[in-house]
Amino acid sequence: MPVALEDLTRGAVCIGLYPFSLGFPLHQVVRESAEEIDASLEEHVSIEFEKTVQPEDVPEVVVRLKLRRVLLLQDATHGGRRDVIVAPITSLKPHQRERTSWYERLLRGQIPYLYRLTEQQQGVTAEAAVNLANVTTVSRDTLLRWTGQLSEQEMRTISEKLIDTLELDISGRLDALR
Amino acid sequence: MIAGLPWTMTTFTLQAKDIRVPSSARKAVARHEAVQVVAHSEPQFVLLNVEDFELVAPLLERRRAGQPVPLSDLLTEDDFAFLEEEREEDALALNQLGTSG
Repeated sequence: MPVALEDLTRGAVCIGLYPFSLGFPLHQVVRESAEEIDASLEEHVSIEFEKTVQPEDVPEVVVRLKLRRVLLLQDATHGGRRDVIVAPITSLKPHQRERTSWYERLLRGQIPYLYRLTEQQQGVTAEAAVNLANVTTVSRDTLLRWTGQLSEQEMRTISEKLIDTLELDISGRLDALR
Repeated sequence: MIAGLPWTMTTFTLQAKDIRVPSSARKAVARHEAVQVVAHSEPQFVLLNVEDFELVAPLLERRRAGQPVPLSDLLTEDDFAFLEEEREEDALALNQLGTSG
C-alpha cells in the first residue's frame, strides 16, 4: 500500500496520513484500515476517520487521521532510510484569496514560505500551496499514493525559499564561490 | 558605499542627472511612501526615502551576503494570519488525540 520506493524522489507529491508524528504506530493504522483508505484514495477525496490503536507505551490511543498531500524535499528511494523530510501542501480557501495583497504576493511568488501549485502534474486537483514553514519528518510507510512530480526548476525555486524560511546561513558557501 | 551615509550596503550609484524622477514621485518619497517603477504591469524597481532605506539596509545586506534573516521580519500580518489558520487546522486534527483504557 505505501508508495513504491522508486517513486519517492525529491520533488514527488504524495498523499500521506496525518498526523505525521514519528514513532507513532501509523503502520498499524494503515494495516487495519487498508480498505477504508484504499476506497478514499480511489475517489480522490480527503478522509478523516478514527482508529483505536494500542502502542506498547500506553494502554490505548484513539486517533483521528486524515489524508494530506505532502511534497518530498529529499530523495527517499534508498531502502536503508525509513524517514523523509516533507512539506505539507495546503488547499487555498476562498477567504484567503480575498486578502488581495497577500494573494497577489502569492501569485508573484513573493511569499517566502509558500510555493503555489495549480497543475495536475504537480499532484494537485485545485489551487494549493506548499507550506515550507511547517516542514516535518515522516515515516516513508505513511506515504500512501504518488500524485505528481515537481520539476528541477520548481524544486530550485523551493530550495531558495527554504533558505529564507529555515533561516539557513549560506554565506560561507557564497564566499567560497566568489 | 556612498560618502556621507552611515550604512555599508553594497550599492550601485547613479547620478541624479542620469535619471528623470517625476515630481509626484519625489513628493511621495518625501512622504516616506515607496515608489514602484512598473513595466508591463510588473514591478521593476522601488524608490525609497533614504531614511527608510537606512532602516532596512542591514536586513538587505545580510540576505545578500547569504546570512540568515529572521523569517518573521519578512512576513506581513496576512502571513501571520495564514500561518495561524494552518496551525489551528492542524491542532484540530491533533486535538482529537486522546487516551482511554
